[in-house]
Amino acid sequence: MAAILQRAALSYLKNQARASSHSATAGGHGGGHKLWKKMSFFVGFPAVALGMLNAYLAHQEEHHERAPFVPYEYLRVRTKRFPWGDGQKSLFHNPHVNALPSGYEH
Amino acid sequence: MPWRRALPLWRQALPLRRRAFPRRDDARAYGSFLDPLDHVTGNEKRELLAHLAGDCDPFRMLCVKRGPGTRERPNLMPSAFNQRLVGCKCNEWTNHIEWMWLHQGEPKRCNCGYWFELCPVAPLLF
Amino acid sequence: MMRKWLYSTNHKDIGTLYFMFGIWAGMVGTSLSLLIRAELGNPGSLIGDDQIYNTIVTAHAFIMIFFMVMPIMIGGFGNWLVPLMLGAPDMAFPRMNNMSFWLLPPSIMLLISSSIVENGAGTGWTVYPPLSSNIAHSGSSVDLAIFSLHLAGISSILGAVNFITTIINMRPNNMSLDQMPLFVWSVGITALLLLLSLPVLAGAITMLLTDRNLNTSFFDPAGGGDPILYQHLFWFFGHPEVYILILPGFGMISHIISQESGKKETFGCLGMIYAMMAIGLLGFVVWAHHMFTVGMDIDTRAYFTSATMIIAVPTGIKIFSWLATLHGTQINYSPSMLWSLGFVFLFTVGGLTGVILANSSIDVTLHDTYYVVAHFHYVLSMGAVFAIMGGFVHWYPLFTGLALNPYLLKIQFFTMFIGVNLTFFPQHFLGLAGMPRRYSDYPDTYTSWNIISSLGSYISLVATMLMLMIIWESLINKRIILFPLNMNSSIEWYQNLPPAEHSYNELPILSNF
Repeated sequence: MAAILQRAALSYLKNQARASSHSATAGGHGGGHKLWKKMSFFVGFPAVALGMLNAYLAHQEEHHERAPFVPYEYLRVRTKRFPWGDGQKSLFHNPHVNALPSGYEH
Repeated sequence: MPWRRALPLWRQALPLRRRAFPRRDDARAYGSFLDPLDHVTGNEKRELLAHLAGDCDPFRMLCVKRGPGTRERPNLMPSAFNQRLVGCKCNEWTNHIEWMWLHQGEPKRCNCGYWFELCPVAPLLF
Repeated sequence: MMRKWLYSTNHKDIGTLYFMFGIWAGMVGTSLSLLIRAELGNPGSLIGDDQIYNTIVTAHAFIMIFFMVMPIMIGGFGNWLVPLMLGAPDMAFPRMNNMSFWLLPPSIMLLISSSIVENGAGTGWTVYPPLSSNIAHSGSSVDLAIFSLHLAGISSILGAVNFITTIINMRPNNMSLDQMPLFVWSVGITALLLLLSLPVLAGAITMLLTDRNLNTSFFDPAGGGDPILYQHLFWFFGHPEVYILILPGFGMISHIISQESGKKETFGCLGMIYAMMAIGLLGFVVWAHHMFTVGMDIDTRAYFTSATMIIAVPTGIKIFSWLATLHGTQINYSPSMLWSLGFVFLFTVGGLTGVILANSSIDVTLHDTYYVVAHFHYVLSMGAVFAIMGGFVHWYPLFTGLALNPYLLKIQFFTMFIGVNLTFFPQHFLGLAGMPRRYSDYPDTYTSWNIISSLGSYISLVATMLMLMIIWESLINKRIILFPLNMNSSIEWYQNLPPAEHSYNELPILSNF
């Protein structure tokens, strides 16, 4: 569902870009700014709103099973402690899906 | 803005009314932007006015096409000062430029045979 | 005073700053080279272990490349001469020009700090992992060296943007590109090489930094990475870098030889431009000739061998064009002419050994031996440095308005010539006999050539000190130049000597046929 919405939004944007007038980008005369103003309101803002809707709907889906923890030595490499915190967590550590070298935290 | 002080006091108290569209109907329409001619000053204004008046080289920087270039009718190179560096592109196959200082009142001959002389022009600045 | 030198937006002042910095860094680099030769002058250990020795070797290379040759050639000569030769009032971005210079003192401070803290960065200037990763170099030395390279890289990239914009945009109206002086061409092509290659170095060393500190594994097989990736990335920068080091020298030599021969142009001027463009372009597709021993496919090695040998063609065209420029003249053995003649001969020798090394088969025996060291010192210490010296003595009257003593200059030239040749020619024999690089000691069989090489380095030191004294003598005695003897095609000499703060009241104007 979310993927369909995404594709619809993207193809709509692509069509708009293809149909944009030549003079707007060439800058030959001063009329081009009106086009871009309209595009910002009628294309840009709806695209952002659609994207937000897409993200919300995707979040509503059930969380799938996270990967079982296997202490592969080529993952979760810790040759030196990270310069922050306890030195074991990466910068955008997400306890739900990121394991520490010793396993998931909960 | 010094020109505002020329208005009567009651007009000065009112907020500025911005002209949203240019008055001029010529090719210089700028959409909802202001016409630069309204707000440029100094050298930039002199340059813009010169361009509008039809002089496309107010600073005398463009290349000067060679004329007969004889001793009697040397090529006139413009200069607002007493001397100017002039470069001669002698022919279409040359890979270098013959440079020479030209001083006011002294015609000079390039090695290729063409004569040059400095021609005083008014400076755009000052 | 602070304002004039700290906030300068004058291309001549910034060029002077680059010269000062480059000369000072050259002294540091020379001292490091003397330490190396002192260590190798006799068998046994002088300084200590291999770690400190290799730290000195690394610092010597970085300082000579990034803080001596590049600032002097591109920053010094480039900033001084490119606007003058184009008839432009200044560079396109004068303030950014200033920033490019002032990034260099912090950069060299970071590099020197890297040698002072912990055990130093004993990795070689190539900084290959796994030796440079945090297991083998666990302190902050390598990190400081990486930051030093970051700053120097930013400085050069911005400088390159500045030069390219100036050359494209600020010529007199109707000066076509093929009428631009050859030095401007050489700086323009060098700037393009800098612009395209330095970001790759920045990427490689940043990946090394994160591998060392943030637990990435770009170059660590235990995490799925590959140390050879680093080598590819480094040498994709590294090979254009060596052309960056020599191309401005080519431009300067063209100017000096044409001037000293009394010719208005170098022979085959258009061919010289095409040759420089070809060298610049080909320099991007030959990087793996530095990696012949890592285990690449035989056909890959065959390709890189062939591509490398092709670069000899445009380079040879340049050498022959310089000889043709000299043809027919009565050679006036002025100091700048001596440096140029030395350049042409010794750079050719270095280029020939380079062609030998291009063969991947023989490179298997010669890789990481002193043969390679001899090769690149011939093209750098005798190519780039001779071009710098020649350019310096040629344009010194323009920069200062004073004359150097030609008699002393000739003595200094011959001292330097003997010194560098005595230092580096024996290293060919050492390399062919199998002496490896980056070792602080060697088996007794290599003793004799090493002693001779070290003696040569002391003679080069004397020549360097002589140069300083010659400059001092000219500044003290102040023999003011009355008028220059230049060809009409050299616009840079049509100035006051030294040029006024603002070169032109009115920009030069051209007259077209």
